[in-house]
Amino acid sequence: MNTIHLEFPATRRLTKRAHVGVVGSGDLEILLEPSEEPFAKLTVRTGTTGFDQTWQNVLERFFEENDVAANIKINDFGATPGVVKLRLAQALEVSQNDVEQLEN
Amino acid sequence: MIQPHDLLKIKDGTHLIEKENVPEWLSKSISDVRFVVVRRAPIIDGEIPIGIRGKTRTERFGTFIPLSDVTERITPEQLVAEQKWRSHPCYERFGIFQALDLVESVLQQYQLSWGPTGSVGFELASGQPTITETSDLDIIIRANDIPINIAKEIVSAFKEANVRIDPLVERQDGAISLIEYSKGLPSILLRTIDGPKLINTVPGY
Repeated sequence: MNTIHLEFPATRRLTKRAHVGVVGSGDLEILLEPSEEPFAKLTVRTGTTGFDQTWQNVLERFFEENDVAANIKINDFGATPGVVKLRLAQALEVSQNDVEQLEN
Repeated sequence: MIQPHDLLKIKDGTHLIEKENVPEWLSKSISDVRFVVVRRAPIIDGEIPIGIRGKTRTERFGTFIPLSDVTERITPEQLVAEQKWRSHPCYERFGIFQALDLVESVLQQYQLSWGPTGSVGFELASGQPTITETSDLDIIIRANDIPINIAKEIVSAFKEANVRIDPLVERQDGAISLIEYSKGLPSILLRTIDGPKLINTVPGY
């Protein structure tokens, strides 16, 4: 298991926690908590090694466009960059809307 | 029609060596490649997108092969029709085979067509040892519209299994995770042959 820590400056605040994604092949799970600090702090845990630069690139681009203050945990099960981006967008969607999230 | 997750028996792996960027683990064992898995990607000029499995999780290689190299096609549903796992020499040893029995009895109640994929599907189709003690059970369910209450019942029944079951629903427009769908979130991930996208599940949302 490979762990990657990343941090990006942030200005936008979020209102809600979010838990999206699936523990399953080619997917990932994201746990997002709004933060008081002006940073997006990420911890990525992945079973796949050798893709640190790809993670850096995908996440840097996403948080340049969405500079949200949050602590984010990503548990990866071999997701492609396309899936990573969509799951992050989905986590933001949940953390900004008023509909109560249904948990299992 | 060839679909993602189908297992293809190929003539021999030697021609694969002509492809670019073949990783070292594969070039050493190229002649061992007999079975490949169809990937979720477009078929262009008759070239089928396939994935090759190595010995470990991280050894995967995606490429394309022409249809003329395919000698046999095995669908995940076929493995269920033939109840392949019941005759496996390790039927008693691996909990994953009991999980297959559970999946079969649950999905039979709803008359849903399904099949194993991942390491289990690969081993049952090819006979090559692929399953490990830590393998999850990846399955597909072929259905276009599962009512959400049924999805919840199935996910809850699958939790009784002694291994983690990862069910994908294969629809005409792509695949969704049954677990994610059963949570009733406003948007879910759809995997299409042109890549993933988010779709709304709540009408008018």
